[in-house]
Amino acid sequence: MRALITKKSIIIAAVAVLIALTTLVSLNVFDSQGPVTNAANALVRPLNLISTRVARMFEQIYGSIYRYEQLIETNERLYRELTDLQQAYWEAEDLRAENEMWRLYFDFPARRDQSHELAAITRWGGSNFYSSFVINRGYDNYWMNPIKAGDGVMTAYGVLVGRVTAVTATTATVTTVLDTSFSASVLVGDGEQPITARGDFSLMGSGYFMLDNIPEGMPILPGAYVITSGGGAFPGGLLMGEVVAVYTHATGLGRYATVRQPRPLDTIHQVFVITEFDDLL
Amino acid sequence: MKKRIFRRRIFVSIILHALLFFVVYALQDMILIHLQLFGLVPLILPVAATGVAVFEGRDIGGIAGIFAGIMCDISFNAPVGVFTVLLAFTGLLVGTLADTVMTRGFLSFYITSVVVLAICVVAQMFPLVFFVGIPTQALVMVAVRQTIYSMLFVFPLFPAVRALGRRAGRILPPGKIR
Repeated sequence: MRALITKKSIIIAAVAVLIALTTLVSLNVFDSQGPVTNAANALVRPLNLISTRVARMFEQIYGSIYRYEQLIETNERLYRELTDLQQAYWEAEDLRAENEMWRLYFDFPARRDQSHELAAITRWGGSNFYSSFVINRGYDNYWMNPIKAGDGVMTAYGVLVGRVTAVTATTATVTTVLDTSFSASVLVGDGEQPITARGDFSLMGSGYFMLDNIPEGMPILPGAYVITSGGGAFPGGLLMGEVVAVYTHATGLGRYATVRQPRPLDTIHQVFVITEFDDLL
Repeated sequence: MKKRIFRRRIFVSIILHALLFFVVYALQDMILIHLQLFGLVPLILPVAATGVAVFEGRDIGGIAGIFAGIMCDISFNAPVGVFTVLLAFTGLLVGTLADTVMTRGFLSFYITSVVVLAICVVAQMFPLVFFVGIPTQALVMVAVRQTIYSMLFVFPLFPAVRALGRRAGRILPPGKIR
């Protein structure tokens, strides 16, 4: 014990505790991650940018060598889907025009636009217990809207992938929909009753999340789309995924469903942060 | 003249340690994160910090623990704190054991690394068990696999930390207890 508690070891321990206390105070008082975290993040940022570029380069090489056939098949399928969607789009355009006419006639409120900021993913979290990534936008965004904790994050295709949980001047940490701390109010299929989607630890590794406490009698089938209900932390109508399977809890009380994102999260490189939105006014 | 040589050695030693931790950080956070085994990322920084503590003693072990801890926290996208304190304390403790009762060698490096990795995984699980309420069984499965996977990196890190220790001139002949 005497060998452990010396002047030097007390100084080293005090430095470590001081660093932790600085972060703790910064988090609780200034709502910031603290100077040490910011400095360390700034130091590793160039390395992460390089590693991200290199990783993408290898992914492209790997993709062109081993996934060529698969990519051709996907391309064919997407082309067919695009043709169908183009047809559906023209039909929807007519309906939209009719809808707009009736909205003006009855003086109903309109859905307003959202403000987005494009960001690149610079690093994925290295923890096996949490699911998060870091983006290259923070609260100091020059001419763009500042990123805030709580902002929703989606892909270019309007799929909700997470929520900003911590922000520094030039970076922000996004907790994904797979993380156990994530939850959102959602609608399933044509349903009008909102239920809760949340991350589940046992599903996190397989890239799924969960719809829990499904009300008795609510019809949910595999293949149904899950979208945000709006009126909360996220705008309504954002796609979150597709129901894979519906189960009854081991206790026999209540049901839950597993949901898969349309695209594996680790294949996403760019996202949009929803900095402002208004649901129906 | 002696002072200048001493300073140069200290400078070179700092550079070599920084290089070791940079390589380990890059391996953990930039390479192995893309090459996951069973969907898991190994935890190598605590192993490197423990190795430095075993072969270079309490003070260097504690300092190495602080830096490895900061890197670990950053790697987990978490605010710097938990692992900084944790690895500083384990570095001091392992270093003290190596300075007093423990033989400096592969076996002690291996055993202390396993203990430190187990402590780290408990620290990772703690908030999930007590604040989120996730069943311990699900977490333990991941924890055990992560520890086993991380333990594999004791083998490639051993020559590096031993060489650093030898360079510092602090390794005693095998079997000799200080």
